[in-house]
Amino acid sequence: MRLAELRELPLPPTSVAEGAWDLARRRRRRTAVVGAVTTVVLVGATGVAVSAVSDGDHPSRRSLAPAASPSPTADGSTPPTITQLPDFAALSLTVPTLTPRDPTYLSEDPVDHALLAITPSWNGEDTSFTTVDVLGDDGRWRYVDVPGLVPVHDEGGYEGSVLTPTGLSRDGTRLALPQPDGVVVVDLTTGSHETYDVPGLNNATVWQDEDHLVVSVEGAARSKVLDLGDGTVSDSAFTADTGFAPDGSWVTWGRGDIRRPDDPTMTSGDGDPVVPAVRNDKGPQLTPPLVDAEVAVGLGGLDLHQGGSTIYKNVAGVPVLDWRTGQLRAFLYTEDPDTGLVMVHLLGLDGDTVTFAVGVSGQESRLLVTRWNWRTGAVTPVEVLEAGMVSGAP
Amino acid sequence: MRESGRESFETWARSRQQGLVRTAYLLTGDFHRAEDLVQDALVKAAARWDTLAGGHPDAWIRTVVYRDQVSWWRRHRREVLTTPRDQAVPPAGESALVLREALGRLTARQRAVLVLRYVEDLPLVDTAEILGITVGSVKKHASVALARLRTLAPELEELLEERR
Repeated sequence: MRLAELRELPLPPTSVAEGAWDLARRRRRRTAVVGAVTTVVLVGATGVAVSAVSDGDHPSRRSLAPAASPSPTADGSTPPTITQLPDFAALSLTVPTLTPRDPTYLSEDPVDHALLAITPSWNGEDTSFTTVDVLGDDGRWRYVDVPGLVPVHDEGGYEGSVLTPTGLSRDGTRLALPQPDGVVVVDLTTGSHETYDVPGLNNATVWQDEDHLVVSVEGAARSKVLDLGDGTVSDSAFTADTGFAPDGSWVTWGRGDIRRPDDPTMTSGDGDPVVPAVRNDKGPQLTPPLVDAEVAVGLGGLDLHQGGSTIYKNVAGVPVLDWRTGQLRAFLYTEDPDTGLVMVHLLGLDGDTVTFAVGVSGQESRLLVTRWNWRTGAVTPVEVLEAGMVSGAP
Repeated sequence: MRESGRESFETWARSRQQGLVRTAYLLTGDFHRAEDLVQDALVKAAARWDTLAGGHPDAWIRTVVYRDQVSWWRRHRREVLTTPRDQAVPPAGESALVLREALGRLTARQRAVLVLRYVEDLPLVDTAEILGITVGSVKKHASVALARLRTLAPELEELLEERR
């Protein structure tokens, strides 16, 4: 058997070319339509995005049913802030590029606290997924020299970085790294680390508080809670998309695909029916939201579904919701139909400011760290990271 | 996007669709995902047909398919992308099945390098250009990927013959 023989691999006939021309035409027209209908759609539908909320201290509390679609102005409150797609490529040219330089070994040169942690740009090598550098508050880089780290992977063998956007603790003193059948917690202030037994193909960690990590396990609907005090692992009702506020509030972002096929207002410029949907996650990978006492910030988007078998997967963004009411407070577009899928990593929420990293179109190995004031809509680039993954809010 | 380009685009797209979907299938291991990938690329191509028609649309769309797949994979790599037996695909020979599943165990870029180099039979330079990496990186990825394939599917000893 030679690889070239795969050219003859039998496949069913396809007809994907049919309609491509018309779809392209509609997509172009849709760009204008989106501007007109987006606010209506977002306001009308994003309210149900938060599928479970709680301000309690234990997830066993009954999840709230999806809220009825609220009207943002029914009670006289401020309409949501809609921030159109920034030109991330242009913004990336206005800020410095940050590259790990001359990192020292963390075990020999610990930090008071880390500003951020990164994995280097993915280059196809396994070490891309297990190399983690942290930037100390003194402005110097350290290499997290934990021996024996392996990439996280799923049952299909697909590998990923040990660093996730939620790996760095809120105070920047500890770093949690998921591993198969374990979690490694690095004390960045001493350079030491401890490995905890957590059965399963663990793929992400979220800091619940100083003493507990929520560990998501590949294939498991619910996450585990690891008690760092005694190393015990317990079941929880949390899911991989549960985020925690400093005061202990938690929000499960949930996943909705809220289509409104009967909405007569949704037609494209040429009269074709358009079925809009606001989804609270762009893809199948669950992402925990950023949470504070007032709002939850997650990944979401607007899809326009055309008739037939073709589905547009367009215009992702960052919705900000009042997590108690489900009301949309703001939305930032991070993608348009022509840029394709764009990575967005949510990094931090500080008052009105959301910090996130976005993959810049055409610059796959670089992430643009950006701040967005969701109340005013102001977008401010911070720096470009030559990194494949980042955690922390510089 | 001039309507006068519709006929030439559709003629070109129909003649390429099956080959593109086969390539995308080898990249993704999922027939439906492969169709989605190619369809998205064709829509993008149609939108740019005014300029693409006079250039190299084959190379352009191949690049779009590969890069979109790598980008998609980077976002969704925690998801199980392949199933041992894709019900949409008729049974293949045993060797092809083993090889297809072994490909699914490679990283997205390793798989892309092997498919471009050994299935599509593209030169090193073209492979590097499509993937946006250096020729040296192509060689390295290919070497590592072939070694991994030999480990994952040792029964396919003939893979040792893949040398350039």
